[in-house]
Amino acid sequence: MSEEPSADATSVASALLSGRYRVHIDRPLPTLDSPLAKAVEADDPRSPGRAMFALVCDPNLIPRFDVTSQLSRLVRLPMVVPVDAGAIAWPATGGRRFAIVFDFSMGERLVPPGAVRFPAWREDRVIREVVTPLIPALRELNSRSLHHRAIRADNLFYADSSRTAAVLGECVSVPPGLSQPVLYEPIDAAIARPAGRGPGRVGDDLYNFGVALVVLLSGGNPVPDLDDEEIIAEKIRAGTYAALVRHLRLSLQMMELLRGLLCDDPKDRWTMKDLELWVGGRHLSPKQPTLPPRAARSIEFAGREYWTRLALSHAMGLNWSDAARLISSGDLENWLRRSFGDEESADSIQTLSAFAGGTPENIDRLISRALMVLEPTFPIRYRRLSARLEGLPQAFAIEYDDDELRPAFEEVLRAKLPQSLLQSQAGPPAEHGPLMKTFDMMSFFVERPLVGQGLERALYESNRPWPCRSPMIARDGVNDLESILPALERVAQRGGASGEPVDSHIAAFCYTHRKSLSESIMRGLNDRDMAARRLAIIRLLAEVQRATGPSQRYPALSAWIAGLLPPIIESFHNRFFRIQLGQEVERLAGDGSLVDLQFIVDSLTARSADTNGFAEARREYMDLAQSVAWLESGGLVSREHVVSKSRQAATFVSATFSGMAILILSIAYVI
Amino acid sequence: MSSQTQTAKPRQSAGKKGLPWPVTALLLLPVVVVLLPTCVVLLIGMVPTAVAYMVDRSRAHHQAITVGVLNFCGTLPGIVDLWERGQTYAAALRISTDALYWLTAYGAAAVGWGIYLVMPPILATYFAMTTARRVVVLRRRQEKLVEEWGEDIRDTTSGAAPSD
Repeated sequence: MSEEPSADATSVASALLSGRYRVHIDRPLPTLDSPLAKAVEADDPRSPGRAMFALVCDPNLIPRFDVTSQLSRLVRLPMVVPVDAGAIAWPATGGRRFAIVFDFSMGERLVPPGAVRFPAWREDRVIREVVTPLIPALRELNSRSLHHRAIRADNLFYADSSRTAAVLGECVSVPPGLSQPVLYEPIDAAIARPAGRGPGRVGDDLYNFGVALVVLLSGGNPVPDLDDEEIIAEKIRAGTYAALVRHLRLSLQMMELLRGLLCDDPKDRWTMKDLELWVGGRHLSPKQPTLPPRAARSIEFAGREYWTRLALSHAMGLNWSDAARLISSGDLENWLRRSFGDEESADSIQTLSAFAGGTPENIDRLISRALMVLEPTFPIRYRRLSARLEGLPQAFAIEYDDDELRPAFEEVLRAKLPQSLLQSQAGPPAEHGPLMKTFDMMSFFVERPLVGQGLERALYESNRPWPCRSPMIARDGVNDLESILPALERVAQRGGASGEPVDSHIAAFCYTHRKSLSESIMRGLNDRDMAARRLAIIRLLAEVQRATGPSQRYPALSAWIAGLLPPIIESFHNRFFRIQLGQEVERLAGDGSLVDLQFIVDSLTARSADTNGFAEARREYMDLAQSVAWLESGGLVSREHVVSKSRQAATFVSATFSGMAILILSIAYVI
Repeated sequence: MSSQTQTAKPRQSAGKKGLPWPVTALLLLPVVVVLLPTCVVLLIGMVPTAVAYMVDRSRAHHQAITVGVLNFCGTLPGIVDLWERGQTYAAALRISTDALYWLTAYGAAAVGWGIYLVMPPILATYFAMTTARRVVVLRRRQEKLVEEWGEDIRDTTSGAAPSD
């Protein structure tokens, strides 16, 4: 985390969460820290005796809002569940951070925090204090299709000071799977980057649970001599059980439990029912590990020999340049055909190689697709990017600011690689439909690099709770439409009102959270003309104000926007109207209503009147110019004109004289 | 002139609205019969108007009208006298041969003709005097338009065409 809560904060030391819970930023609780969230004291003024604590999330992450409310209803379970979650003011930066409050109802951790080694647990103690007490929690999560994704030995607590039963620690302070070490993860999740592990699959929690038991029985990391990649390689080679439980002497009973939980094939892995039967006393022979099929002949890659497709796929994903050579040389295709008899896969590799062009993007796509063919159950890989399919949107959000990974995500989506992998997986499970729809949507937006669409729109549409990443308001934790305008108001109050208040992130965020926004606004945002663009900006923000609270006032933001309006005002032709409009804008600037500001500068009636008036004035000007030219060329004194006018004048004069004469005669005759 | 008359006639016929001349003649016949003495006096007195009509080449016949209205005013004293005397043929003959009647009618026609002839030089002089002032007024109006609507109003490469 970049900013630490400390006792040195001299400004406001407590922040309110959800208008109720006080989070004491200056009172840390290091023993309750999660890997990516810091614990501080908290309380509920409505319940003075209630012991609480809060976890303050990393500024670049958000809590698992999607499961927080569900978990908060799981009371009386052996599990630390959240009470509430939301954004709190963060005085150190003037912005906001996300935090979660919990009831402080558990004892100390089973494993001392930060401990590398500790006294190994006996099997009976593991069963009595960990396995049996946690069954209700695991059962409840399983029945609700909720995935904990943070089950680790160091995330288990004693239920109370008696230290006789364990409870599961919290699982909501980070996206699912993000804080799990590679040791704890199934092979495919371990290959994925932590951000790309996704919401979790059935069996992931039981696998994590199995590894946690191994850690307890081993007194720490069972394989301290292996780094992350070696752990994965060893799991692939020998199976997870053999890789992790190599030095432990276990009873048949425990062996059966761990073999079942640590089974690498998700179809063979124990389910909750198997675990409950085992706890209930049903003991069978331990499962024999199902190792991946072995080739008749090995294949050499990057100086080493590989006998299985999984091992080769993993190695190729780590060595992109050698992978390209292996594929284009035809060796991979031959190996699949001859050593596995897999004609279909070999033909696919051959086809991919034939159609791949020489550009770096095409080579990357070739490798990525070849890896899908080699092992479809593995995560999607593209250079440094590695994510389970269902974890790709989450990885996109978490790693969006990585300048190397973001282009990789873009290329993956443009090439529709997730869709290809989804289609290549055997048998469409029920969840493939929504996933395919998500990827199609992301690809659609990525192919349209416009303000309001593009990468940013793909980000927010695929991760709706994710806060807006605009550099202007990133530290404000804006994750809903109602928070946009207050955040911009704070930016203006802090003196950050330079440039335009709507960038590609804010536009995409608004369009994601407000589907009824007009497409004409988006066209305006992408217009090169400054007046048109700024008009679109004020339309967008006014629309957001209408949707989120027209009675709210944002004087600083209004003043900011008023400062951007001169190009719009100047776009009117009539000078007197421009002056009047400028005065109106000045008057409304401090009022705080964007709706009113939009109304006066975006009036169709005024625009139409100005346009028509200008056209009329131009016509009149040109008529006058013609008249002047005619006069100056002697038109008035030309013979034709004089003759014409004098004839008319003569007739008039004659008629006048005649009339007078008739009148005089009439009077004379009467008299 | 005959060709102009021949050219003018179809246009006049085509554009002229009203009754055909035979019908008009038929309608006027009773009037003429009843007012024959008056018509004789008028005919003699309005000869200058007929001449003016014949020599006038303009479509609106300004010359004929200019001479005609004053000529008619000049015949009025004779017509009034005729009607005072009972509109008899003898009175008509006497008035038609009265030099004063001729002087009045033809003198008024002469005044009309004079007005028609003297008007062009008068107007030419007036126009020459007022051209510069008119230009100033028009330019001032243009400047006001520019002040109100901006320099773009001078742009003639796009926008509205001048009104006719």
